Amino acid sequence: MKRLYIHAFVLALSLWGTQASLAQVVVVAGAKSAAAPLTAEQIAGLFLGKSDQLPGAGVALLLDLPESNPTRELFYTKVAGKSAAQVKAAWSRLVFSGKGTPPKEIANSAEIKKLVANNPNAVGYIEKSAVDGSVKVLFAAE
Amino acid sequence: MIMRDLHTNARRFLGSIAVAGVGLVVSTPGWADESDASRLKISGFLSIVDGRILSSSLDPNTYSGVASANGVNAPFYTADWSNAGLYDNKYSLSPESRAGIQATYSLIDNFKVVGQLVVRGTDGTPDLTWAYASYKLDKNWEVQLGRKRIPLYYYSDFQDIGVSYPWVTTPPELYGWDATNYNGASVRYSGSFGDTNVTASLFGGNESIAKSAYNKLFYSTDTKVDWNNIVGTDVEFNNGPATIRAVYVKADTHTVNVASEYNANAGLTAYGIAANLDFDSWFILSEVTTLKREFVEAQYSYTAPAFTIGVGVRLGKWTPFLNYARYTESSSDLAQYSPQSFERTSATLRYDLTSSSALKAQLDYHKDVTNNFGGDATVFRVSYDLVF
Repeated sequence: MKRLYIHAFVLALSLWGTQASLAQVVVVAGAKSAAAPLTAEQIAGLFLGKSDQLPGAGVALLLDLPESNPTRELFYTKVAGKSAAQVKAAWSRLVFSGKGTPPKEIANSAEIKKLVANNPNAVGYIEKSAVDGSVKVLFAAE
Repeated sequence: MIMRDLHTNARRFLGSIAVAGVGLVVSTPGWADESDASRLKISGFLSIVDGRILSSSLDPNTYSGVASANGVNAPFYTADWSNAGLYDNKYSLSPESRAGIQATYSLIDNFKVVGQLVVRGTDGTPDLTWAYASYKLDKNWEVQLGRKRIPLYYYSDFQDIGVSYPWVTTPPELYGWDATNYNGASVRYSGSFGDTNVTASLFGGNESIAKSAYNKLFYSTDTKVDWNNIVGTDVEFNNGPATIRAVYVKADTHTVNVASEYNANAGLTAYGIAANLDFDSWFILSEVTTLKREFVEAQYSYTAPAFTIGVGVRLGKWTPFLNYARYTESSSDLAQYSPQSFERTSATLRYDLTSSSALKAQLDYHKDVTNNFGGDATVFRVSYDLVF
């Protein structure tokens, strides 16, 4: 019986650990990018199309994860404070009036890391657990 | 916003748009390979709006307006002035429903051509609303050449995109004149100063409409409208939740209705300020504008100040929104021109079906203050909005 409790405890702990790593999102540029650290406000400005400048690096190439990826929702609600519908509304204003190009949708974090490593203007967001030497963290959400 | 399955169908669309709009011929075979496919983006929007007047009041003894407008008998409610979209007491989809498709083709980095076709319930033939070439000079400056919207009001540029705002449609007290588009050029600056994002533009051009939809509200015969020498500028500041935009536009207008022997030149001047506050759940949208027309031959003028203010709150997928809007004309010569004034209170409930589609229901209490265009009306509308 005791063993079972320990098993359950370990399982719960590991689940909690997974949740915690899922619940952390970081904004990244390539390791060699000149991009400067960003504030949540600046990130919201970029990913909602209010600004297209990546401080230190020039015109930003924005990278998005697919809508089915939970990190995307986490990013928009936590960092930009907007729902998926609000984000779409903001971009549809820009797209249909020639004032902006929405973020490029990239399949997964691995692809985002590859793209930012090869493009000094590219900026994207990934799970914190996916961070490695190929990227530079510009912002980490609490 | 990319829809690859539409790619093939869209080729023909884009071809005609590119040729008609900006005189650029892009050869079709070039789009076949993979790298070019990513240069082409097809996006689109749809708004299906159904509505009717639930109740109205029009006293024939005191009403001094037209008996009918665009074939609709008074009492009626003018929901879309630019396209002569009117509701009476029967449900109708035609006054405001619309669909559009946009093709963007990036020829090289910094240079793209864009075309947008829109069909409306008020007019079955597709309209080329946007067709322009855009070149980004550097990180701050962009030049656009071709056919675009006249950005007279805050929502003008995207007033067809129902998903982008909380109302069923933009307030007609402001949005809706005889010309909505122009052919010409614009220069746009965008930059950031600290936490403040700034965009500013300067635009100029002409518009010529052989059969004005707006004038169907006043004449049963064809009216030709020209807006010549359109010149305007706007500047927008955004800092956190606050956005402020100021605009100034002037034009020389010429309106001719041969059958009615009406021929008038008027100088048009318009300016306005929009101020929006957008917190995480609460938001306020407001806009104040004035438009003046000074008639050259007849030597009179009318001035039309208008404002709208609305407040909404986001509750998950639901967004209730309350709005009040007013339009008040004054005339320098009552013998020549009888002013019109309207005021309207509306309540809208929006429900986000998905991130890119929404359902809305709206109730409007509209007052024909001067009792001379349509009468008072309580209007009910439901809409389905989609972007892809």
